[in-house]
Amino acid sequence: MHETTIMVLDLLTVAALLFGLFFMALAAVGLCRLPDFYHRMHAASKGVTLGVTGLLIAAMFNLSTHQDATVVNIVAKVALVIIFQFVANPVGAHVLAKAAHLDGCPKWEGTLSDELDEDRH
Amino acid sequence: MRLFLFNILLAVLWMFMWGTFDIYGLAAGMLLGYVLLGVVSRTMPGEEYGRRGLQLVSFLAYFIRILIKANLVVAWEVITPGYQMTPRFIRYPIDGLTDFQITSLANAITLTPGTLSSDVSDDKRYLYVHCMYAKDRESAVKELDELRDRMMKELFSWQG
Repeated sequence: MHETTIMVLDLLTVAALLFGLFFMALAAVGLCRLPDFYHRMHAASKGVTLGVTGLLIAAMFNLSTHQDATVVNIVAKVALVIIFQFVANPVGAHVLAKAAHLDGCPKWEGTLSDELDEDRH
Repeated sequence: MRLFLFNILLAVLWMFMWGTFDIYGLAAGMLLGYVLLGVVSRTMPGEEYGRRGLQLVSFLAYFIRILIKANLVVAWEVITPGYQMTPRFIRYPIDGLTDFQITSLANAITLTPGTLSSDVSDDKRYLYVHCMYAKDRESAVKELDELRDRMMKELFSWQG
């Protein structure tokens, strides 16, 4: 591979890594900072999905610079993992939020109304 | 769907013609077949193969845009001091959707700004959504409506 190509790919790797790490870090801070369980799930589901996507794209660029890399193979695998992320992460968040609500997990005092609670009783 | 199978057939034909049985040959064949069928299907009543493919791409672009916006919304809430949320649990009607469509919609809702799907009623008529910014209930429902309409029109029009 040409040297300039490798350099461009390295720069893209760094950019994607920073992008992913930024949102992962935000998700982590959000988990500590937000007031109740449901708001924390917002941070955990959205932040991690985008963060992991960024890290996977970084891995894709980096692996493509290797000498004997088959680019099609790498791109296909990364695309597959990203798709599974987009299916699995929201489902996990949904189940956790549902379980928490069933368990009567306390809501933040600013919560305006709870129609889920109304329908249960 | 019938035209999509025809598209695959054209791609296989293309690979045989060139003798290149790899992923690039397949991709080139699929692309050429798509353009060809997009033009041809304009003459057929009720078939809009070219437009449907573009709608799929447009939905993907819309989805990535709102995913990034969702993250920036959460980021803003986390970074700035104090809380500006006005959260609610909203009952959202999903009458007439299949199981697969409900799952897709719930996942899409979780990944869009300020909303988190948190339960489906047992009779599959309502989705319960936790909205972070729902001072006005109607406008929050309207945002969900836009997402549902776009999804049904651009993603599931293939089933027709």
